[in-house]
Amino acid sequence: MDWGTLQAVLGGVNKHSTSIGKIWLTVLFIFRIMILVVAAERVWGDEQQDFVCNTLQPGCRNVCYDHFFPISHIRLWALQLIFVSTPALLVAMHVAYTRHEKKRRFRNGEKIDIEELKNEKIHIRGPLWWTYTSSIFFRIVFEAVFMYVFYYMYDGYQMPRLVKCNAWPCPNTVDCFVSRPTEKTTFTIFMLAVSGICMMLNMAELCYLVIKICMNASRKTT
Amino acid sequence: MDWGSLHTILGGVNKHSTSIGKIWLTVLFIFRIMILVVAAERVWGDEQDDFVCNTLQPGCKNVCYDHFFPISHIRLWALQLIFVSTPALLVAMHVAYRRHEKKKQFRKGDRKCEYKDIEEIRKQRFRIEGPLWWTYTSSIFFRLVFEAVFMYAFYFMYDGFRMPRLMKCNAWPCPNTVDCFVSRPTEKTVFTIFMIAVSSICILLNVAELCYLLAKFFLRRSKRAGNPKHHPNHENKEETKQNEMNELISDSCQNTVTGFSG
Repeated sequence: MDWGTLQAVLGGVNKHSTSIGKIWLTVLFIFRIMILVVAAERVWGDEQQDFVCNTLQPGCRNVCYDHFFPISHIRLWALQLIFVSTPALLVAMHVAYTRHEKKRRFRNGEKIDIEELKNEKIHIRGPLWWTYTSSIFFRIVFEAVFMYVFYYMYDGYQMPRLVKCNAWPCPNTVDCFVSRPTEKTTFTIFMLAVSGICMMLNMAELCYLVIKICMNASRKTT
Repeated sequence: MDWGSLHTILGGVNKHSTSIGKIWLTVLFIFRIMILVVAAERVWGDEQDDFVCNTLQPGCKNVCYDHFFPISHIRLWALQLIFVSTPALLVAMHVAYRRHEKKKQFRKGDRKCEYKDIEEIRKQRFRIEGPLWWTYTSSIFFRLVFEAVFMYAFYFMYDGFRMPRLMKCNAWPCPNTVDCFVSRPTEKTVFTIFMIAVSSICILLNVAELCYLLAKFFLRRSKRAGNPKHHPNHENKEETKQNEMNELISDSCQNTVTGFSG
C-alpha cells in the first residue's frame, strides 16, 4: 500500500468529480505527492545524520534533534496528503452504495441494463450532493489544520541554520546546526504554496456546487 | 507517484501531439528523466557526506554546504522536468473536455450518424484546430518559458555551469576562512553540461513546433480566404460534400454550416 495504490483508489473517484475536482486531483498528484516522493524525501533523508552539535556530550545531539523536530516535515506532509485525499472516499462509497441499490432493484425484477449501470456517470444531485459537499468541506478543514500545525510546531515556515539547545544532558547551551536549511525552507514554502492553491480550488468547487443547487432550486420554483 | 506515473500520464497526451511534439516527449523521457534517475542521482548521492572542510569546528561543514548549495542540482532538475511536463496536461484536459461533450451529444442522439458507438469517440484523434490549437500553442509557450527560467536559475545560483573543486568559506561558525572540497566536481560538471545541452535541444524542438503550428495556421487561413473564388460547379459534387462533412466533423460541435451545395 503506497502512493501508487492511493492513486489507483482516487482515480476511480475522479470519474464522478466536477472539472475543478479533477484539476484538484491532478495538482495533488503531480505537484504534491510526486514532489514529495522524488525530491523532498531526498532533501530530508539525512536530517538526523547531518544534524551536528558543537559538543562531545553523548546523547546531547539525539535529545536536541528530538526537541526541535518532534515530527519531521516529511511525515507531516505524508499525513496531510492522506487525510486530505480520504474524504473523496466518502463519495466513492456513496456512489458504490447507489449502484448496489440499483443492482438489487434490477435483480428484484425492475428493467435496468446492468452494463449501462456499471458505466453510468452519476450526477451530483440530491444526497450525493450533500456527500460531495461535505467531503470538500472536510478537505478544506484538514488542509487548514495541517498548515496551522506546521506553523505552530516550527514557529513559522523558515528552517533556521542554527538552533541553540539546552536540554539535558547538554552542558549549558549548545549550538546545533541543521542540515540543508535553505533547501528545506524552499521546499516548505513550495509545499505551502501548493497547499494554498489546493485550498482555493476546493473553495471554488464549493462555491460552484452551492451556486448550482441554488440555480436548480430557483429553476424548479419558476 | 513517481516518474513512471508521469510517463503514463504524458503517454496519453502523445496521441494528440504533432510529430515534433512526439520527438520532444521521447527526448524528455530518455535523455533527461532516465539520465536523471539512473545516473545523475548516483553522482549527487553523496554530495553532502563527501563535502569535506578543512576544519574541526562542528557545524562549519553544514553551514558552508548550505551556503554554496542552496538547492541541489538534482532537485532543480526534478522541479524543471515536472514544470516542463505539466503544460501538456492542459492539452489532455482540453481533449478530455471535448470528448466528454461529444459523448454527451451522442447519448442525446445528436451525433449518431457520425459515430458507431461511444468507443469510437474514445479512440478518436483530434486534429489541432480551432480552440485546441490555442491550448496546444499556449502549452508550448509555457514549456519554453519554464525551460528558460530554470536554465537561468541554474546559471544565477551556481555562477555558471561549472562545479569548482575548492570553495573558500567564511560563514559563522567557521573560523576565519576555511577550504571546503566538493565531491566529484568533474563528473558533476559533465552531467550539468549534458543536461543543459539536452535542455537546449528541447527548447529548439519547442521553437520548431511553435513555428510549424504558426505556419500551419497561416496556410490554412490563406487557403480559406482563397476558397470562395473557387466556383462550386467546377468541383466534383461528391468531393464538395465530403470536404464539407470533414469540416463539420473536425470543427467544434455546434453546426454553423447547414447547406450542401449539391
